Amino acid sequence: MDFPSPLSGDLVAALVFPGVLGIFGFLVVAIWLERKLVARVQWRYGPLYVSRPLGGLLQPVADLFKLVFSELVLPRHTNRLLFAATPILLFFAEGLPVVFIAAAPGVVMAPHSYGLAIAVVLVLLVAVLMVAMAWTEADKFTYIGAMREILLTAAYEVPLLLAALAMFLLYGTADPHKVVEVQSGLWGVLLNPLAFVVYLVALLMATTRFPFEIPEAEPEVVLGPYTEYGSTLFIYAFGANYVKLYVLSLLGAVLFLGGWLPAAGVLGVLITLAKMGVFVLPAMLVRAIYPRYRIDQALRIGWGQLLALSAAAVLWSLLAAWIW
Amino acid sequence: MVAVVLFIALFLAVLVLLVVVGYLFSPRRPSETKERRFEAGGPPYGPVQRRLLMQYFGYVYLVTVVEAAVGLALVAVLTADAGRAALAPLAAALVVAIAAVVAVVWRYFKLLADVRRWG
Amino acid sequence: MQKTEWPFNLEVGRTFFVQSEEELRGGGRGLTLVVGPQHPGSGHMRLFVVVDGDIIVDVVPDPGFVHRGVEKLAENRPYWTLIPLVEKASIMDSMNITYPLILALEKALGLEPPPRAKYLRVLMAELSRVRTHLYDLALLGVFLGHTTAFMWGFALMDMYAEVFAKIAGARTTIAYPVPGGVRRDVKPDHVEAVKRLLEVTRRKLKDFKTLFLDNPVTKARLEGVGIVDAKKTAELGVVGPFARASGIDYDVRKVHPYDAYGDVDFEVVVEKDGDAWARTLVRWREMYESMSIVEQVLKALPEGDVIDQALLFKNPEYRREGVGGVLGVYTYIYPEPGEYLAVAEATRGATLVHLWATGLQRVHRMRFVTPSWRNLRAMVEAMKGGRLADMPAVYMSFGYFPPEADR
Repeated sequence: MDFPSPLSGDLVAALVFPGVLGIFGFLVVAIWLERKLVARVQWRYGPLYVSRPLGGLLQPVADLFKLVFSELVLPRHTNRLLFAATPILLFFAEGLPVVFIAAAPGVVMAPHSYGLAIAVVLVLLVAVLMVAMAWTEADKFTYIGAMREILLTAAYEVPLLLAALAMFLLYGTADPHKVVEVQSGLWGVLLNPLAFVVYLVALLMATTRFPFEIPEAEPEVVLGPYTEYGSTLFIYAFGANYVKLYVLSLLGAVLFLGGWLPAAGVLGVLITLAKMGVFVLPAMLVRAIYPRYRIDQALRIGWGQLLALSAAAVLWSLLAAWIW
Repeated sequence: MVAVVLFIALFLAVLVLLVVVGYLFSPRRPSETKERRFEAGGPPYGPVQRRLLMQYFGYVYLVTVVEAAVGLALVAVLTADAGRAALAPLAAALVVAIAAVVAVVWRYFKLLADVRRWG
Repeated sequence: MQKTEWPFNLEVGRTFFVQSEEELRGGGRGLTLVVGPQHPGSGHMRLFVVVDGDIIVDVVPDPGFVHRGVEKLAENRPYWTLIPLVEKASIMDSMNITYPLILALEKALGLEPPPRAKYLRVLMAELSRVRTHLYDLALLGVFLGHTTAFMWGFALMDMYAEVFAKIAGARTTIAYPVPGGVRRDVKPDHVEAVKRLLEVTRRKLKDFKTLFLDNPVTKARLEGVGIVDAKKTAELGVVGPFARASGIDYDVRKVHPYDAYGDVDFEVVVEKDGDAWARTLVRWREMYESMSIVEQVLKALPEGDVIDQALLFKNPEYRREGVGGVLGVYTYIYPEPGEYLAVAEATRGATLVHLWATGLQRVHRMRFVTPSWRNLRAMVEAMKGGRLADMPAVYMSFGYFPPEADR
């Protein structure tokens, strides 16, 4: 594939989008956007004073600097090496699935015929590291947070997999390029709206957004799995969820919204980026709209309505595949 | 392959670098209070590692089983041949598997949510 | 093993104000969470929460972190300085919380406020009731994770603070009533401000309801949570909207009408269910009742002085100096010896002040019972048996305010 740049497509993917720059850039923009949007609903300004002409866009950058240069406290009762290593690994692992997702034709690090399926599985595997992190902290609140993380994973895992299964069934492939090619007629969201809804709700659960912000419910478990962290490690522990949101939005854009269609090249990358907003914006806005469910209610939703909906989505896909 | 290695190396390098920078250059004044466990303002109280019974473990049992089934289905779907002829047996298998899962969940939904039974 | 501080070397349940009733049971199996004082869900208090998995087996409250010793301090200062002292217990609700003290002092001094002052007190009392309910609902919102309810509630509260500043001269701790009247008269533009405030409140509360109370998630979190039935409510001595949420039809304003409450028409809001949702609904509907009272007061506001004639008579300079000049008169009038008891309905429930006067300008003893203190036991009981996530929901459904409880 020709790409009008000195770098080849896969290097662009690794360095710019959806690679390293994209992940850190997303972290800044998403945190700013969330604070700004929610403030809008809540009769506030949100971030303002750092870079006033930009509407406070650089506030997260300032926060990042502040956090990096604040004292790194490693509690004595923990395994200090693991305590420092697990958030790094967590953040890294959350970003790993982008290796297999294409942002535009050729802009993918590892083209693989089962790429999207591998990405989905990688996303699901990360919960293990989150639990490991909470376990390493050895604190009562992180302990409960870890339990809740496990349970929440149990609630969304099967619906998420079934939603992905429904789409793979429809497309007959998990290769990101082919998946997008198939959608040149109709986007996945129109081919199977049920799967899209399931995916969106599962995304909210997976990234512990409201109303499923249960593992880090403040009035109960302080900050859940991140309670003990400060300094740079807090950025990683806390930012890992935003990276997950990034990965799942990118995956969703490719799986449901036709990825870079109708363009290619640089424009295709930008279109993919814009389409990610369809997942990111609701995930930001729910914070202003919903309180949080209890963990038992989230489990009931996951194994009740969401499972039924995802089973229906698979059946829908079977029917659609039959007719097609 | 170069891209993957580059991505992983760069990503990890940035992450580790930020921690190292923080560790080297941030002011440090360690104290016993800072380094102890967070216990809502008090000194650490009681052990953490207890037998913690979460009343919702039924769901975890369930997910371990169901996930395996869904994983098999994923493999079956992705490795299936194209065309209608291949779709029929696949569809039948999928419908049976999903129906079985839904039936089991439907049957035991109340039991799963009943915390007194899992205490 | 590091050195532990008191009371951590002692068994939980043996050291705190509860001795035998609430000792921990089955603690070996559960995990004891120390919630507070530095915890986002505790307020200025500490709760020892024993959880068995996700179920709360036991809760031992440890209040007193913001104990100021109001009762003791009251013994050492002249009676006219008690008002700003007492109101610090519940600053949002300062008008209502000082009400019983004012009523008791008036009995002791033999003063009777003129009708206009009575109406003005009711006006401020009901405005501060709305404000305190907004505060509690806002905190309930953020305890459930609903930051918008929190922000909106506080934004609305700030408008009340502005109006209070106009009328009483202070945003929060207004110390508005004085024995025998009120400190300041309202002017026509103040009346306009109150009217506008009510209009804005009604308009904004509609959005508040749509986003928070009608939210299915809020309902799911509150319905059937922390049930206290009518019998238990009575046994535990719950007061205020939290007793009314369990079907106990008791409101001091109706039972022993003080000041202008006999003249205004309002309904005592009662719910039957006794769960967190009912407690929220009672307070929600009470806000509308309060606003209707304020409207009636504005309509029927009598003309005249705002300070008792007896006080005015003692200060001939009154016409020149204004109400402020009258306040000096207190320095040369003395309470009659005796015991004086007064009860008033503060926002969170009935508040009682019991004064022992000996003829000196310092009261011998002041007993001050606040509603949050009386609701604490029920709050703790309601948490037991719930899930851990219900703890904050029950906490704020009782509107528990530690400074008010600790005094």
